[in-house]
Amino acid sequence: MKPILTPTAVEVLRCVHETMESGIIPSLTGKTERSNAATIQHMLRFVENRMEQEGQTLFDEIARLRAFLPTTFAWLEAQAKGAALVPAIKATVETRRPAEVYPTLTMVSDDVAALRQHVCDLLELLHAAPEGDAEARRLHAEVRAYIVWQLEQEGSIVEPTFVGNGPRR
Amino acid sequence: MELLKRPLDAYIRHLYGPEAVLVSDVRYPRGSSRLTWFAEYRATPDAPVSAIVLRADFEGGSTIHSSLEQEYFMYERLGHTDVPVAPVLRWEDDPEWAERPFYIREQILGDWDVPHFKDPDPKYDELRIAISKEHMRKLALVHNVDWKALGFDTRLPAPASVEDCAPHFINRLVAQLHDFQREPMPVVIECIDALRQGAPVAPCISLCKGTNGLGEEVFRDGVIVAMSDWEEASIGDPAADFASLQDLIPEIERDGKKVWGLQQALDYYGEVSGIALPIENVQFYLRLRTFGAILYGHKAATVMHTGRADIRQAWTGTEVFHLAKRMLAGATGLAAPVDPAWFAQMNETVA
Repeated sequence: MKPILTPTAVEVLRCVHETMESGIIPSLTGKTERSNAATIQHMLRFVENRMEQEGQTLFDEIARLRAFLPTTFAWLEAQAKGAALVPAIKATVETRRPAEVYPTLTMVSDDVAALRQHVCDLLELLHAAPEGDAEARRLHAEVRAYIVWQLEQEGSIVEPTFVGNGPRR
Repeated sequence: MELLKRPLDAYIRHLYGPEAVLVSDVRYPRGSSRLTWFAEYRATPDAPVSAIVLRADFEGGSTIHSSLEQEYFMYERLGHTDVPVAPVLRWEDDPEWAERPFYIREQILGDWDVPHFKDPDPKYDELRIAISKEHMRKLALVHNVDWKALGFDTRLPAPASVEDCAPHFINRLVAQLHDFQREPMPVVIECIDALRQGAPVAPCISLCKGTNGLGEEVFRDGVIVAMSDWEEASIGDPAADFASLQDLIPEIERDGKKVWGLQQALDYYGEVSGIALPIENVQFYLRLRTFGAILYGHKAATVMHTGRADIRQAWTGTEVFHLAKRMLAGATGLAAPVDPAWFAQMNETVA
């Protein structure tokens, strides 16, 4: 037997979901109530999936951006409006939370948001770069690949939550 | 009722006199942008039943960026035109009664649904085309409203010229997003430039309805008797309305011949409106529509932060918001287009 602490939060949520499905929804007669209940069920499933996957998804994104953003410094430093961004990006990339403080999902989300903001700032400069700037084109291609990957990461939580699971409302 | 501090039957008596009787009240279940309640009453116990609609923002705020006051303004102004709309009856913000501001309009008898409209059986072709033409005629009325004379531009910012319509439309959405944006969105920064490419010149500067078509208009005997949902109204290229049009231009092909579709609808619209609208303009605004979806998806997500969001906003702020980002990436060639089957599922309602 593998020792675990029970019940897990996800198990509790599944129980709530099942009870709604079998013990409450069949007795609802009003369309508004049934419609709200349908949305609630989707949202419970969303939280379940998110609890299971979000932490690793965010960690993966942090790792990807911490590796990528320093590769932009040389190009940024050569840009009139780019050099000022480098110290701020460096600070975000290099900062580590204290090991003794549990990193809640909110805290990790804040870290991802800060990194994404740097990507946005970088993109504005990449868009303004002249056509012949080969390094800008290379970095831009990397950012575009990151955006597609990030949407897929997000989709890995959202799609299985909703698609094929019935009316949303 | 959540909009009132006191019972609805007391409010009905407050409005319509001491003998007034509440007959029924029900919340519209599908609404995902604002809250809609239907109520029926008799002015006296023997009087015929009258029906009203109460509209308010959700408790935590609206999913749509425009204000409830603007929606009220639209109905009031449209009451001075040939566009069929429900007469607006009252703006209510009396703290004695209202939990939060709402307005009341007449409920127009009819149905948002048209039986068999989505049925591909050829025997319904005639019906489907007739309904589509009816919608074209009503859009023509909207697009020919003299918005300047009626002062619509006192609320809705108007572009400076037909060349300015597309940039104005995009800049307006960008400014709206900046007003409430909480989350950095690289996909938006990346795609917004692509959206600006190929901006067309508008054939004219029109009042535009915003979301329109099936689910937004009230039909009776095949005629649109009321056009609803003006919360995304704007002034600009009428093509924007064709990009926001839900279902009412069916693509019908028989024996290898196209009998109805967007081009045929635009041709008919041109005849009844006098506006020659290039299909390329519609295609341009269809791409912009993906950015509009990001706005309301993210707005709903930000309302969640108030702790007073409606459950519908939780959905809009999650699935719809995510899908909007994927659609934007798809429309600008950054990523693969989203499977249309996903959209179809999102429009289903519980039985």
